[in-house]
Amino acid sequence: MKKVFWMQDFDIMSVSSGAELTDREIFMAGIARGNAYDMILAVAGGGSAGLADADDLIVVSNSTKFSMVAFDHILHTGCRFVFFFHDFWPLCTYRLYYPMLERCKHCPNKSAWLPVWRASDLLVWMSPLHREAWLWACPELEDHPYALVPSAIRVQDFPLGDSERKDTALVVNMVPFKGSANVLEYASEHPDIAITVVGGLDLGPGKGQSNALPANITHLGSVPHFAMPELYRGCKWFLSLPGTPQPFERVVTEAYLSGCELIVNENVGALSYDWFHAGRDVVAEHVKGAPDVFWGAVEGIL
Amino acid sequence: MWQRGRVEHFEGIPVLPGLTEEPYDEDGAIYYSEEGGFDLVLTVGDVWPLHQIPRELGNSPWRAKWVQYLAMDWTDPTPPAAAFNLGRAAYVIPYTSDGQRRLQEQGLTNVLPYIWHGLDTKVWRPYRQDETDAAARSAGFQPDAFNVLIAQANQERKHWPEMLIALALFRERNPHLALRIFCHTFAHGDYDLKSMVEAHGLGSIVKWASQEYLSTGYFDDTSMAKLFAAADCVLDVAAEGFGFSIIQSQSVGTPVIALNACAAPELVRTGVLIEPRSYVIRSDLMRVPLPDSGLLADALDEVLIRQGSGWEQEGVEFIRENFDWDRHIVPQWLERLDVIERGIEARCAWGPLTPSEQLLQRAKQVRYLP
Repeated sequence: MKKVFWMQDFDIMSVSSGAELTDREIFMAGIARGNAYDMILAVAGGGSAGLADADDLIVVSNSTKFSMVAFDHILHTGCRFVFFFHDFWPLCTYRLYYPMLERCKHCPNKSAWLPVWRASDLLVWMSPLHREAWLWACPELEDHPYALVPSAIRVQDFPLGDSERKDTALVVNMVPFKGSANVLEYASEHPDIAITVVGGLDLGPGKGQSNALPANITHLGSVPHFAMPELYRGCKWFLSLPGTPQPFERVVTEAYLSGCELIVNENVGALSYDWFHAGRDVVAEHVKGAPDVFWGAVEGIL
Repeated sequence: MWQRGRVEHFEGIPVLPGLTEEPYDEDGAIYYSEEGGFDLVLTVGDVWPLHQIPRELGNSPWRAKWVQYLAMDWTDPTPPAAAFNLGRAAYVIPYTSDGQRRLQEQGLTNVLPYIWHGLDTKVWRPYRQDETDAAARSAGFQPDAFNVLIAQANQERKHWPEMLIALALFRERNPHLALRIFCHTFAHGDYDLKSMVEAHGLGSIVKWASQEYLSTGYFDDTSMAKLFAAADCVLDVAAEGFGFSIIQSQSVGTPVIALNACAAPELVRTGVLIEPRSYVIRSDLMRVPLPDSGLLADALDEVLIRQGSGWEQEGVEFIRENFDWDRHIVPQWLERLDVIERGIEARCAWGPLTPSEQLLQRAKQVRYLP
């Protein structure tokens, strides 16, 4: 039995944001492999406690709150370790707002972290776009062993349904790095399309908030994840126009599986997979099988 | 917030009054940094009491950046909480090369080259005996005695019990030697030092700095330098993040006895380093070495034996060629501040930047998937 030490900022069993949902599915799949893996979850705040017990594999996944001291420990354990990138941290301090400027190629973050990435046994990105965007600033990683693992989605939670759909476009989190400016522009160009926003609303610097929305945009506020399937099934379209490369965009995929037509741009990482254009069944098969992709890649290095 | 005083000025630089009762007044520092639109908050000395500054200013866009000028008065390992907080600083500048090495070995990547403290070497330099006679008299020193100066705070971390035990032992070993001790400190603090001195039978040979003047007065550099120069030996056996008296004593040609741990090993040229007896783990998990009274007494013997050997010259030259504020220390600070400014800008520390034109154009290419 291989001992797997999974480092995460949050308790993946109780937190329902994107990275944690994916990690939960992959982690549980590791447990479900029976006697193959002994899974240990280390949540930030515990420092590097327990690393001394790490024998076989350390998975660094969404671990922004662990200090460099913890990573120094990882390198000293001599364990095999996997660096699972859920966004652009630690290359970019602003994670999902990676601007892909020339200066990014010379960022102090890159020089500080490159030795850690190179010391890993496997790098995991969430889509071809995700990896391409990383390699744009870090071509040194091009030949490093890697895997592409999409968001792990419980497809059974997102059935097509047969309820009537409103002629509404749904937007999740209308905030700058998700392209709030692009959504505003789309809304103004398509005044006949009603747009419903759930989650965060931030129109960017210099703009007001909900009172600055055009007439065809309505903000519902926060909606828990378990209520999203019903929302998806009630809307005809899902709108996502991020301004910066997004690793995968789980919500786009969930909406698509739920039957929404997509209004998206090339910054949505999921679209960079060939299989994403092969129909909903194929998409479902791949996101359902994401844990198998992960563990298959891991088994290749153990 | 209420200001607990008025703004003073020191050489044209405004000195802002504290805002809270807390000794490190982190609330005040954060408030001023925001109200005043400061770019940088530089904290000097201890990191272990800081909580709000690391949390609120550490790696936070649109707020002042935090730089810690760090005293490391503990031995390895740096406790996880302190290391975590230090990792949040934009930069850490250790007081010593030992501190720099240890932090970098522990994995911190935001450590800049160390900067020692400095002295005005025009004041802190050797003096003729006639220039120090008055200081010697005020300290109770005698020309034919072995005169020991202890300029340490009356705090537990300064190991007064060990120093007094060692002095008593040294006196016992050298019954024909006249010993005089001047304590430039508050007699009452963490310890009732006067009672302890009496208990060790040292009361007749110990003199104290004016307690009133310590509270209300000001000991200028020149009078302090002459006091150090009048002594035959200075004791500083605490685990020091730097230890000013270590360089002060050597600068005027007086040997120092210090602990062979933390800052002292790289600062002592004319003096004796004593090995720690053991270590204690503080409540903040910092591992602190403890001095040994027997070894301290042996060190006093060694300093006594080496009197007149000329060994003080090495210390004088070392301090003069490395610790002058204007010639050595200030240029290093200017260089580090320049590095900090450029580094902060390079890290986009003031918030995310506008995406590249390529991304902006890509974002406008809308696709439809049925």
